[in-house]
Amino acid sequence: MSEILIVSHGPLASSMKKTLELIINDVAEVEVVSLNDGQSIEDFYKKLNKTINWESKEEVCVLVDIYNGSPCQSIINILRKSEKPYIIISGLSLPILIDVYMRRNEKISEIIDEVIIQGRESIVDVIKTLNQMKLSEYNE
Amino acid sequence: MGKVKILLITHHELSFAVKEYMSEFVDTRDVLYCLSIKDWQTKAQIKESIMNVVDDIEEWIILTDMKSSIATILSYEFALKNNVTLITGFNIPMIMELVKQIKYNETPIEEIIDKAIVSAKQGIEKITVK
Repeated sequence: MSEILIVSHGPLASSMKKTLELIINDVAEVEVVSLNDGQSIEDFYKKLNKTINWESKEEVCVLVDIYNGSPCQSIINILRKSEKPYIIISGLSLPILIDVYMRRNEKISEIIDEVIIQGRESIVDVIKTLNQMKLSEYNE
Repeated sequence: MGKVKILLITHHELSFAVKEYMSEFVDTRDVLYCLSIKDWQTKAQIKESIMNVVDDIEEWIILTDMKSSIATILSYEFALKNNVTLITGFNIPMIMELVKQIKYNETPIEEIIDKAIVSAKQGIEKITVK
């Protein structure tokens, strides 16, 4: 079982969660923390600390917008000093969020390679891919 | 070739959230456009709203959140035009690369798209902390 936390700059994280809610009705188990424009890092740390379920021994899977950003660095700094099991994935996209959510009963750290491959495979130049498929079918 | 422009199409307000996010880092005016699909909109209305943005003059890159979304399905016929490319599964590294290439480099469209897809895929990674 994994807890899910989305961390990002601005409204991206909450908007991702709302989009997930359109697809899957009840996503109360997904937590969101955003670093808003003008908000101090100290305040952001406090919000992260308050949101993480420290009582639980379950792993938390953190989805972040970009690797180098302040939200990502903040959550790394918090979790690395704790005993809470965690896995962090950068490059948040809707397909990754859906995949992680649908597989939250598993430990995401044990299936991380599959999650990353799926996320990368969800990025498609549609027409180019269809043309390549047609060409390979034709060659066969 | 006209200018290269990006159109983000998503359900709910996700596309606008992405634009707001990007605006914190870079001026996205004249580069990044958004459409939000509403629950009450018919397919014809959605297509019309895409048609109102995507012209035949500029190079357009349409970004949708996932392969099977209504946005992707309805954008498909636009992507059959020579001046439109449709990419699914966007993330922030992809959009940052696109905006960077469009605004600051005079990169050919094919190269812009290849670079954006590489950035998007490389941006998805497991973060290991030493």
